[in-house]
Amino acid sequence: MVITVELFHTLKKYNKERFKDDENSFELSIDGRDEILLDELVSLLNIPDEEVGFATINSVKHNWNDPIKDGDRIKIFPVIIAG
Amino acid sequence: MFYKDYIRVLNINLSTGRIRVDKRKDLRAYLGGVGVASKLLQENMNPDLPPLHEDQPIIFAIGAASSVFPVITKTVAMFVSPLTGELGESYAGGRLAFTMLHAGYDAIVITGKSQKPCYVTVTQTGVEIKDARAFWGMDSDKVGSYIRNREHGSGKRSIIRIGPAGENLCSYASVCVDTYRHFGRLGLGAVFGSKLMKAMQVTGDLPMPIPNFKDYFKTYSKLYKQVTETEVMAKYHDAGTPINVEPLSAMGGLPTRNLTSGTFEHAENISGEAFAKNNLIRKMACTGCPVGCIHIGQFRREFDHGYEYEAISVGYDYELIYALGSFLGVDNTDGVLYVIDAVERNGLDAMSCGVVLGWACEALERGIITEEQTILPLKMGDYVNLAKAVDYIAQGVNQLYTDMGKGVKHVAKKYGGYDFGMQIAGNEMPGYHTGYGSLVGALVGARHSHLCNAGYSYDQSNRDKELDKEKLVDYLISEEIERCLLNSLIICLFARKVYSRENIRMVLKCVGLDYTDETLTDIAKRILRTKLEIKKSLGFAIQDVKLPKRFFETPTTTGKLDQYMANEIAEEYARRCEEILAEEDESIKEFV
Repeated sequence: MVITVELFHTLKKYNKERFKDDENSFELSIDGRDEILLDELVSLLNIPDEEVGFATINSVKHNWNDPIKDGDRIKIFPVIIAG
Repeated sequence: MFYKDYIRVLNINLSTGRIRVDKRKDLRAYLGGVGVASKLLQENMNPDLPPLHEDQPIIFAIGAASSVFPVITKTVAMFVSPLTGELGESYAGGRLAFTMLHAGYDAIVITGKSQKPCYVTVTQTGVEIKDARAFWGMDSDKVGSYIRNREHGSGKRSIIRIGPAGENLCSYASVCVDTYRHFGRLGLGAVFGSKLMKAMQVTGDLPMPIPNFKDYFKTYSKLYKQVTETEVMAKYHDAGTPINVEPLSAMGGLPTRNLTSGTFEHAENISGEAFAKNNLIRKMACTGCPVGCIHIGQFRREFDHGYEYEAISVGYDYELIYALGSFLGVDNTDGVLYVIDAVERNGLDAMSCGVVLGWACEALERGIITEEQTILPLKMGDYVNLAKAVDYIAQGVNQLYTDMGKGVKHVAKKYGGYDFGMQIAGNEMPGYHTGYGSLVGALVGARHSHLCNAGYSYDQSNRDKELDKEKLVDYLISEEIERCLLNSLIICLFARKVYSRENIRMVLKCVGLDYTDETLTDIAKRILRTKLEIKKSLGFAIQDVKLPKRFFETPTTTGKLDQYMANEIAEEYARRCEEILAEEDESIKEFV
């Protein structure tokens, strides 16, 4: 399966090598799987759990144990910050 | 003062011109900052008089380790709020804490009313009350530059001032601190205006010798490393709090178009990244902060149709982008900065102003008010007219705008639309529609701010879990108590994770205060108790608060909220407050 991943702000640094110049997202091929859970994806991308706020699949917010399918677009956001 | 066993309080009476300096040993029981300021407010205020009566005081205070450790940069202002009629508490960075320290004052108490417009200069050697008639009517940026040119003391000085909104007693007028920082919330600017005080300059040159430099340097270096090398603070420097715009919108927690939605379809256009790309020109820091979270954006404005352009620079932050962007349907960065500039010039609180304008747009659309009253065809997204309306509020050009200047609760009660006038206990809502944590947190918080107890943070961490009322109340109250401690030192809350109890004790030891954890908890509780007593004396009761229905109609990031559940949580919190009020304060004897 192939999905598109968009990482926001501070989360980008964990996958620097995957981003092409001036692009905010990258395509990710996952061999031998028809679907993958959201929290599996976060682990796969080596992003520490405490830095992840939430994620959307095709612009709809989802729980961590929801499945991602071929062709989906995933956005992963850092935790909200304020004073 | 460092290594002293007293708090040095400067008292200024604007009616009599009398100046007095007190050395108060007893105030050490409140550590400094919000603790000392709360006690001084309680001593000096009169609960039977209106907030803008000349006998009501303004208190400024700094903390026990202000400016000599990283990110301990803020000053607290306390007063009786003309917006809510109860506890007024607001914080600002800039250079004020640094200059108060070097002028030798832990706290400043201003009472009385000047006979004519005045500004006050404070130095280590004295206070002068000067004629400000020539400055009356000036925008807050202009008066800052005039005083800068007229007065001595470049460098170690801070100039705080009001704009036309404060002069005209607008209930949510702000006080501008050193151009890009503000005492924003709850209407300190109007209290300045009620005393005919346009500005205050504080200059300080006193040396601050550090007896045990080795220990100090070791502690400073450790904290500096944590602040500058850890991930925690980097976020604030890089994109800053505007990085919240997109995730909050995607989660459904970004108040949009007068909270008719929690998602803004143009969030991407007003995101932190969009501002960085389109407008960001520099980042600045408060004195004593190695982070630099103040983001300055620039936009072009035509002098008039067919004429040249001027470049305007204004500070931006998440709260401003929410209140004057998504909340008003403004879908581009230049438009948001355009409205921020109007709010700045007039000296208003951005959040309150945005929420009031949100009500006005909807009230006009529903026919509750007329275009004759609004003068302009006010509507969501029309940032040019919205900015004009900001001028009209500050000037109180007619009865409607004067009423809008009294806050959304006042105006919605008078004209209608209470259920979509988005305030919590009289204070306009913050930019987090995230769940029970944010809503009830602001309701029960001492100053009705998202910063009292960070309820939004609880919502975020517990988003996928079943609501646990007890756990939420525990969180809110313990966070409120801990923040009383942080605000008694007046650590910038962005650095709250760096300043653990262990680090706080280390810092205090360096300035001659060797306290146990237990003593610190006692101090924090004492401060909250004082604040609760003030609120009670001013007639506030959690049970009396009636929240607008829209909070329960528009889904949050954790789904739709139930009004009865919100009330239940708030009532449980109120019960816990009564317990705190009834507790015997045994440990205060150690300080007497």
